[in-house]
Amino acid sequence: MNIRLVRLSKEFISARGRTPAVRTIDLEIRESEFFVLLGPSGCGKSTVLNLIAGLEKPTGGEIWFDDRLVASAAERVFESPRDRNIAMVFQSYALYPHLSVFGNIAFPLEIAGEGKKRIAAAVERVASMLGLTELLAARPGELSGGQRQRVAIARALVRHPTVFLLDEPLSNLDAQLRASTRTELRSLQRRLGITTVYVTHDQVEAMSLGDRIAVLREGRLEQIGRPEELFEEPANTFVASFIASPPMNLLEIELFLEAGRWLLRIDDRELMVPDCMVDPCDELKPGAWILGIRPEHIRIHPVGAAAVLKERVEAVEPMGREVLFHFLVGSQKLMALTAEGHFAAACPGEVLALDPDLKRAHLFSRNGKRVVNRWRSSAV
Amino acid sequence: MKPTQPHKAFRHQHSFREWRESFCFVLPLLAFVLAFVLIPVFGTLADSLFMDVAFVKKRFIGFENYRWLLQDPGFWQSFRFTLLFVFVSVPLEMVLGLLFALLLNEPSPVRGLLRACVLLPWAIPAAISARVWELVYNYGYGLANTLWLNLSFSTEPVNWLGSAAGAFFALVLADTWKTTPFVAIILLAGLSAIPGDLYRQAMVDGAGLGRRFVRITLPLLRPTLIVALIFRTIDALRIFDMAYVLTHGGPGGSTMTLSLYGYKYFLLSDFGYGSAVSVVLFLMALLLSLAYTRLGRFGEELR
Amino acid sequence: MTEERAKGWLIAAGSGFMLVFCLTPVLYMVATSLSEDPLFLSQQAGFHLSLRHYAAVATSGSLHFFHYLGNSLVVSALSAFVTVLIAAPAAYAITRLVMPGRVLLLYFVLAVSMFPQISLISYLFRFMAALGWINTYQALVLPYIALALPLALWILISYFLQIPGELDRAALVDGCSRWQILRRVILPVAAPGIFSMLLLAFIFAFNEFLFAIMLTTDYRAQTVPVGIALFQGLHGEIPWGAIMAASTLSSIPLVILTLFFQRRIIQGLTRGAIKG
Repeated sequence: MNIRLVRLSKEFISARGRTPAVRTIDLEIRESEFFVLLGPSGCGKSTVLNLIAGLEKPTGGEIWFDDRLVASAAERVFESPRDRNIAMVFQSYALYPHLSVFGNIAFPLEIAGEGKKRIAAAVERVASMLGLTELLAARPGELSGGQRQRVAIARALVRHPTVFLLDEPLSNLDAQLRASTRTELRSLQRRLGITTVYVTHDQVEAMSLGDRIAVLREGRLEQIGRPEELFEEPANTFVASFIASPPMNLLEIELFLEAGRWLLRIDDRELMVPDCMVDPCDELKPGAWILGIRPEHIRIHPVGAAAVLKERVEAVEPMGREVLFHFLVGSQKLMALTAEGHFAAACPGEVLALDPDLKRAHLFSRNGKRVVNRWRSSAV
Repeated sequence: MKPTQPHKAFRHQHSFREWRESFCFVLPLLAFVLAFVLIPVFGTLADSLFMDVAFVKKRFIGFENYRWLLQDPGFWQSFRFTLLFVFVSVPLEMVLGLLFALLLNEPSPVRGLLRACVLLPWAIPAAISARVWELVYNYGYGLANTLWLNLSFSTEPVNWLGSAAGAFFALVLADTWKTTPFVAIILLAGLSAIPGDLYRQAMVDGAGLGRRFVRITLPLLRPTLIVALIFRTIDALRIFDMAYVLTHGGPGGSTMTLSLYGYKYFLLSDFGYGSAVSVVLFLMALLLSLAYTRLGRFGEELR
Repeated sequence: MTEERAKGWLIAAGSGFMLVFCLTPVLYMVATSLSEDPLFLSQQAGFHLSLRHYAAVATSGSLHFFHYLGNSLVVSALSAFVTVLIAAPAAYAITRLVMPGRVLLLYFVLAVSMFPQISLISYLFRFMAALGWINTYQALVLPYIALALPLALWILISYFLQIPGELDRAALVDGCSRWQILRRVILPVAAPGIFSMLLLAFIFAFNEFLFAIMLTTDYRAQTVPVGIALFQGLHGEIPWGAIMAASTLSSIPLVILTLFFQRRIIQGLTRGAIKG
């Protein structure tokens, strides 16, 4: 099942006025793809999921399942969730508290009017696939969070849906369980090959699970792409800072020409700009820009070496394998990540030399949009 | 590539279908309320504009009934009595109800039993308890006089139901007995909503029992008190059962409440006049309930 | 320490007073019914246990006690059940469906619940008389339903509001229609609330007096409150013993309900009354 959202928009109208939740989104989810909708809370990702499910009606635009129009505001077309043959796992699982695990899983089949034998067979099949066979007689209230989640997934899969929708299903689990459930979900999806749309605000989840990720903010689509694409080539400062932790450093700089060479100025420090960064880019003009560089691309040397940036350590965050240093360059914050253990002993107040690898840096215009230069695209 | 299914497009007129569905769900309720409450009320309103007495031809007289009403000493007496009754019994119920609520709020192994006992007066039909009170107030051999003669210095039994003052007192006590549990339950709910931490904090700050009651309990209980107050006031205005069975509006019409007064005329088959009396009572209740819906803020929970 | 002791005494004394206040008339009723001489307080005859009043009630031709009790039970049970059937879908629509003007509807229903019964009764009487329904079950059941609906609606709404909307959405995805959601998901999950509502509706209908006395004239259709209120005895002397026995018997169903389900009753009352 391939899903297409065409100029999809959704506005909520209440006594307080109109609230746009989704502003004209176009995207396509490919068959058997594990597609992730990622974004901060309030960005509209759950609304998009509900629109795909048929739990909300679009205010504008269309939704297509393969070549079937399932929702259109203009054409007044709307298929109910039942007819779309989708399955959904909710954030709090929404298990029926008055039914046993068996009853919960069997519920959609009962509504569809299936015979008792077939229902029992189907439930047992799905239950064994998810390791729930011993729990079939229990009530949801007696189960742990992880078990409840599996029941929710079982209920979703028992009908052989063509689309599998998940709304932040891991957010109620503790960290360890989340990691293991993540891998289980992924292998399950690969095995069954169902088109899956997954909503989350956690970029780690998104990066590890998704075939492709759509980043949303305030109802708008910021970027779609494979995890590597989002990481290496963020479309704007929002995506750049949202993906990956610790996030990319975004510094306000000034670009200027001096004797035919490009230089950049952060605060009062000046650095030489490597040719590959400015070549050949038409948009580049002297002036104010934003430099994006990831903490792991800033090398740290003990002071004394010939480095332009000699900065004081503001804070040190040991992160297990690596250490994260916080610096203040003028008035702007800068983070540098190093795996070299011998800096772990450095204290706040010490001055260290920083050597940013500008070849791996990005330039963003003041309004946040990334400047693409041909050097990068050809190198990747 | 899967074959395309014939698509079932529901021609969905944006929300009309949903509205229709909601309407169907609500229709039976509306029908009942319309048929058995609204229409009778309007019917009574209409009736009050007619001269409608048995054996006399029914004819339209506009507001004549009301004009008679205004000059009818019987009406005014029952009006005054009803108000007097409300102003005496409602505060009494509120105070007792608050006391009971405070007691029931205390943790105790027999709390369930206590609550069940307190509920009994409310659960037993007014008509039945009215007969019990009738016996209690019996001049010769009732419980009231037995207690009175034994516990007071008097040697004269009190003529409870036979005197205007006695009957009034008897009615107030009987009705208070029946309705205090309801007030207590409502106030109990309000009390249990007050976080225990506030009291603990106050105790740490050195506030005594009385101070805690005045400074914490009463202010936080205020909304609930208002709810209970208005409910009880409206209910007290329309009192009928107790008055009918216990005092029959006597002696000599001295405990005639407005409801009883209207009922009296219905019994006399004077539907026009009786309806007028009911309309007056209705308007009084309506005004109060409008005040209530102003003071309350229910819509919010739904929004 | 002294404050706690004082408080302890206050509570004990207060609870004692509360129990005495609430139970005395009830105990008096039971005592009179069991006393050989119902007027035992006045005559120095004293109290002698006797069941003759109960026998009189059971066998008396003129008291028609079992008619009254039977009618009360049937009418109360019927109105309680039908009230649920009508209030539940309405509560569902108000809390979960698109319903323009639902707040208005609630205010309206609330206001209606405050109309004095006396202002309904004359018209209702003529209406029932015209239909030939005086002295029938429907004459009482139908108005009782209408009178119980406002409270029932509020109670159910307060319970339904606590059920998360995600359950509805899950059921929609599982293929349910709205009716199915109500029937298979909401009602089972709200069962305690429904039970509270049934209890309160039953108690209300059982206790109702004005409508019963105006819409029924024959003992075969009358309910307990009417029967006991009107019972005067044959020779001018009021048969207190029989009256108290009948009263006690009639109160038994209510006492049992109250004792066993006090928690549910209290929950229902508070939700119904404290709105928002």
